[in-house]
Amino acid sequence: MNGNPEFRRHLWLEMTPYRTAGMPLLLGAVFYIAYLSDKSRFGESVAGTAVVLFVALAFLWGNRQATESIITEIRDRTWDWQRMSSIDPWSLSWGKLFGSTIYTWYGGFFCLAVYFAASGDPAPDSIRMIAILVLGAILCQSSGLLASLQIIVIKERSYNSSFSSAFIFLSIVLLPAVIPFVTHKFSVLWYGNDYAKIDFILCSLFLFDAWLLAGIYCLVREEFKFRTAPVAWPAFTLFLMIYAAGFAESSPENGDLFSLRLLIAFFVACGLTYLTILTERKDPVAYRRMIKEAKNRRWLRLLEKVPCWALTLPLVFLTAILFIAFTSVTGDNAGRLSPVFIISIVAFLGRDLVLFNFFNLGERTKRADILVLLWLSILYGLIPGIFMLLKMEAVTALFWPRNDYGLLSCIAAFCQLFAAWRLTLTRWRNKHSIV
Amino acid sequence: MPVNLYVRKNIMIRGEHLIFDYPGIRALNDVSFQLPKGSITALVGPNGAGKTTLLRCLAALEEPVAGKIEINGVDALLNPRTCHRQIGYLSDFFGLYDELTIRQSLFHAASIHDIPADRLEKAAFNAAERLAIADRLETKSGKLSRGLRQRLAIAQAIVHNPGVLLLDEPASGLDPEARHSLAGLFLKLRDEGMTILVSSHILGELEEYSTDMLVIREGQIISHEPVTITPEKGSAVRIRCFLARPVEGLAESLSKIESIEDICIEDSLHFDFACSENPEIQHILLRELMDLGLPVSGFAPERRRMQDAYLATIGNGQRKEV
Repeated sequence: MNGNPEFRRHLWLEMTPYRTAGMPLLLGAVFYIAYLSDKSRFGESVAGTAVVLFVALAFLWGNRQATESIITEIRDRTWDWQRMSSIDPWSLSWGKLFGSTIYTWYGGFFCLAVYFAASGDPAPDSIRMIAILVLGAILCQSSGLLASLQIIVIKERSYNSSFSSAFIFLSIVLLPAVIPFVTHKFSVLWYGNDYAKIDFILCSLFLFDAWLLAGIYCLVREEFKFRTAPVAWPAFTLFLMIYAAGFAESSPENGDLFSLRLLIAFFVACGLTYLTILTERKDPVAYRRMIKEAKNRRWLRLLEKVPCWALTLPLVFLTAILFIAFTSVTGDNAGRLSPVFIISIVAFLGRDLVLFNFFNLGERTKRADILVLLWLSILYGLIPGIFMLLKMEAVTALFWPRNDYGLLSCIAAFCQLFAAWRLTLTRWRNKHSIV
Repeated sequence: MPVNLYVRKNIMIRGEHLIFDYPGIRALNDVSFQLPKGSITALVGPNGAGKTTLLRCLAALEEPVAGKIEINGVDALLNPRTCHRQIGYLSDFFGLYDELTIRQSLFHAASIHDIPADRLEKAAFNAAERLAIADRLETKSGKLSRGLRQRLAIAQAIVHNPGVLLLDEPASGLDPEARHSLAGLFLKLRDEGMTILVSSHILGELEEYSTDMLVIREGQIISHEPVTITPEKGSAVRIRCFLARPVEGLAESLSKIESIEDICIEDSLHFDFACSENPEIQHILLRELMDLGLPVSGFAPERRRMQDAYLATIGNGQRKEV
C-alpha cells in the first residue's frame, strides 16, 4: 500500500493552505485575549484557556469529524467503493480516525504546547495531564467512529448526525464530572492495591483506547468482508468484567470479596448483553445464514456469524454458576443473595432477549426495538409499580427478579421465558424457516 | 430456473442458484447464469426485479443466503477480497468525493488499488485519458456536469484494469451525446478484454453495445440470449425493403420471385421477407426486384431490436416499466 491513501485523502481535504494558516492565527488571538485578561500574565488563565480550547477542538469537534467521516461516505455513496478497494482494514481504520481529525489535532497541538508552557506545574505533572487529554481525545473520537461503523454494520443507512450530537452532549455532561477526578490527587483502590488516581486514569484511558481501536478494526474487517474469528467481543467483555470487579471493596455489608467481584462481573456481562442486543442486527436473514452454516457443518463460519449478545451469554452463565457454586460452598455471599435470585435474573434476561427477537421477526421491524423497550418499561416499571402502590409487593416478584421472593420470581421468569420462546419459534416457523 | 441459457467457453462470471433475501422479501430466487469473457451483457428488468441486488452480489458486496458466485474462477463468497481486485463496480449514484479534483480522485483510486507508488501518476493519467477527462485534471468533482461525473466514476472503477466491470444504471440522466460516447467507451473496453455487465432501463441505449441480454423479473432470470442474432450459415435472414412510391399489385409482383419467402407487406411503401444470408444471393434478389420495376429506395437486413426481444420475453401481459 502506498503510504496511507485514506490519511492522505483527508490531508488533502482538511489541511488546505487557508485553513492551515487560519488555525494558529485564531488560537493566537484567543490566547492573547486570555493573556490580557489575566493582567498580562502568561500563567494559569492562559493554561486553562488552552485546556478548554483543546477539549473543544479535539474532544468535541474531533468526535464530530470522526463520526462524519463515515456518514459522508454513506451519504456520497463512496463506502462501497472503499469496501472494494485493496486498502487493508487497519490502514483504513487509523487513516480515518487520525485523518478525519487531523485539523483538530493540528489546532490541539498548539493548545497543548501553550498549556505546557503556561501551566507552571512540574514537567512530569504537565506531561501526565497532556497524556490524559490526548488519550481522552482519542477516546472521544474513536467512540464516534465506532458508533457510526456499528450503525453501518446493522444496516441502518439512514444514520444521521443526531447520534453524533448525542455523543457530544454526553461528552459535555460527563466532562465536568471527569475533570475533578483527574486533577485531585487521590488514590484508587483496585484489587487491593493503591494507585495514584492520575496514573490509574492514564492507564485506563490507554486500555479503553486500545479496545476502541480494536473494535473499529474489527468492524472495518467485517465491512470489508474479511473473515474474523469472534474473539474480540468476548475478550472485551471479559476485560470489562475483570476491570469493574477490581473496584469491589471489602466491608461487612458486602460480604465475601470474591463473591462480590463475581457479582459485579455477572452484572457487567448482563449489561453488555442488553447493550449488544440493542445495537445488533436481529433480522431473519442473518439467522437463516447461521442455520445454513450449521446445516453445512461449517462451524467456524457459523461462529463468525453469531451475534455478540449470544457470545456474551456464556459469560453471563459462567459468572452466575461460579457465584452460586462459590456462595454455596462458603455459605457467604455478597449482600446475601440467594441462588434462585441469580437464576431468575438470568431467566428474565433470557426472556428479554427472546422478546427482542420475537418483535424483530415480525412484519414491521423498523421500530421493533423501540417497541420492545416500551414493552419492557411496562413489564418492569408500570405493572409492578401499580402493585407496589397497591401494597401487593409479593406480586411484583412476577415481573422483577426479587431476592426476598426468589422462588416466585424464578418460576415466573421461566414461565415467561418459555411462553416468549414458543411464540418466537411459532413466528419463525410460520414466516421465515423456508429457504 | 434459467431460460434460453446458452453456454460458451471462457466463462468470466458464473452465478449458480443464487437466493438473496431482504427481511420479508426474496430479491433473488434461484438465479443461475454465466457470462462469457469479453461480453457486454445488458441486465434488464422492471423496477424492483433484483438487478441492483444481483450486481451487488456479483461485486461481493452482499452475501446471498444460498448459491455460488464465481468471478474468473474465484469463489466470490469464499474469497470476496480476491474478487474485488478483479472487479470495477459503478453504483447508480457514481460515488465521488466532491471536494477532490479529478487528478486527486484518480490518484487516490489508483493508490487504494495497490498500484505501485511509481506508477500511480501514470495509472491515474491513463484512466483520465481513456475517459477523455485528462484536459480538466484540476477541476473538482463536485463542479463537473453529470456526464463528466459519470466519466470520472468509470475512470475510478477501471483505474486498476479490472477484468470485470459492473455498472448499475450508468446512463441515467445523461444526454443523448453522452450516452452515445458511453456506448463507444464500452465497446472499446470490451475490445481490451473486459467483461461488462450493465443494468439499465433504457433498452435503446443498451442496444448500441450489448452482445447479450439477461432479463430478470421478480428475482428470477427469465431469459438469457444474444442481442445480435447471427444466423447459422445458409439460414434465412429477414430483409426489409423501402419503396420510393406506392406500387400497384405489389404482392403479385413479389410472388414471382422464387428465392424469397414469408413475405410481409406492411403498407404500400414497406415490406419485408426471408431470404438467404448469402450476400451474392441478396445481390441477385435486389436486381430481380429492380427488373420487376419496383422503385426500391432501401434494402437492408433487419436487425432484431432489443426492445422487441425484451417484450417478447416478458410477454404481452407483462409490458411494464421498461
